[in-house]
Amino acid sequence: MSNTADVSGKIIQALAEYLKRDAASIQPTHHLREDLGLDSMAVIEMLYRIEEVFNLQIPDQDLVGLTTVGHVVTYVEGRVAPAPARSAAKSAAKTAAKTPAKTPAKTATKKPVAKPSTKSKKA
Amino acid sequence: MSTRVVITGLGVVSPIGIGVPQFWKAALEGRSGISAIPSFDPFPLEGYRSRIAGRIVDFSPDQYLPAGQGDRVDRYAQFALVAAKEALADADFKMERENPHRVGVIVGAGMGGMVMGEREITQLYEQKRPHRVHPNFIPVITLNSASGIVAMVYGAKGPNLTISTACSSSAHALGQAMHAIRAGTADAVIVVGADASITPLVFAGFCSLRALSTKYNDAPERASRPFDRGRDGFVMGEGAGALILESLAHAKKRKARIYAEVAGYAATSEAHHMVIPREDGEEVATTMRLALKDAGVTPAQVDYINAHATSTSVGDAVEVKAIRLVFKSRADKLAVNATKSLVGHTLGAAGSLAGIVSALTLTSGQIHPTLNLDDPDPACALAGLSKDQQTRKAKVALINAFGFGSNNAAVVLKAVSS
Repeated sequence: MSNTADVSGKIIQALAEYLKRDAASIQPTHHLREDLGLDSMAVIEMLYRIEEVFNLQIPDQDLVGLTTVGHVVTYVEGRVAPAPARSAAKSAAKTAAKTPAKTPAKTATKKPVAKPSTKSKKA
Repeated sequence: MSTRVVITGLGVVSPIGIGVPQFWKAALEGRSGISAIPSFDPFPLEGYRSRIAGRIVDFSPDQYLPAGQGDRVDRYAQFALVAAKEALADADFKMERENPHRVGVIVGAGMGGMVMGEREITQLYEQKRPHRVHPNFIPVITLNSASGIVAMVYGAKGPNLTISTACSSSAHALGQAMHAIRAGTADAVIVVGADASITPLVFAGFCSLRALSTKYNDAPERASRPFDRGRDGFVMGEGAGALILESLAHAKKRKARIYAEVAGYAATSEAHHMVIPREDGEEVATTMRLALKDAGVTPAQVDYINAHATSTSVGDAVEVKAIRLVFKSRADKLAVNATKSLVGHTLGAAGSLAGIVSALTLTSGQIHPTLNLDDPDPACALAGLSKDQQTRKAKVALINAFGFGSNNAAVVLKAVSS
């Protein structure tokens, strides 16, 4: 069961340390780029730290929707909560008490593992 | 009137063929050299978000070089040797007929000797036995190992340089070779671009940078799709390209066959960001303009662009923006293609492959297809891009090469009448 305050607090703390500013000054509504001044490289570095903190891998495709602090919090909550679908994270805050009967959240990438190709070399 | 510089020989080692005839045939047919990476043993493949690359499969230096010649250098330098060998033979360039101190070697390499490099680093950290680091580790990873071995093998005693500016390395090698010949410090220069770093750490590094394509791991040949709406990052490649550059006078004196003239070059920095290009395209436009000015041509005279076109979301759009700034209404009248759609991004070798493709385009009038251009992104559409082979009597070619480190290069080639 995810503790919403924990996830949010840890993410904001990580941002505060990275940006060298007070955690209290960072709001869930803040846009990573426009409000916090992170360029795309800085966003990648930040997410790398968040992956470390929460022991998960964020696939490239998931980066697109992560534009505000709140988006990142919701996303990570969904990943660390014991529910396979990311969309469940949206209701995780409301239904945190639900008992999961599903498999634990994967920390590896959600993409299916590509089988190694046995194609012959291209001439 | 400055000394004119021409290209008289070509050599290539690529994911779509080793040897220019095989490479060019495959390029015109639109063959893809991208395949799945079978393993990064001992590291888990699941740890890599991208699992495809432009690989040269089943390469052994002894297939192409005298036994043992490639033993003491890493894979990228072996590629360099093979490409240089072909280029020298193609140019019928014999060192015994030359003053060797007037023949230089300039190599462009981004990552260098990473195959052995990573192995030794891994071993040291695993085994903690420093005295067991291989004696050849330093000679292999020094970034000038390729320019060194090419000079040693072929007896070139002139200026010997290695340029490492990431993805623009061998475009600069071409340009700096042109400068050396113009300045009179060399009659000829063996220009090589080479890289072979589809290696566990480097590849992981590019994955972590989120720079690589990850959506097409199950369909590798579809992954490198410059200018297409479905592009999602570049595909790493490996290989080498070699070009023999000499002064026109020197080439004429020995009755060499001439592919094209290296007419202009510009080197700039955006001074902006280590990996992100300036979104407005202004700096890249400046680089192109400076190269055209150096070549003494106007945008109206350019027929063909070999685009940098890595298949990244931002990069392709910036390049087209810049092309439109420079060429304005002519932008849609140029023929344009993306060699990286065939072979992936060969890093240090990219500029040399672009030079080879452009030289062959100028001589043959054939423009290879841009693969996977199924749904051109309006943000970077150019009428002259095509997923089919094009035919055009091009007289002036522009090569773009933009590297990490905010580093940009542009080279202009001109057709020469026979």
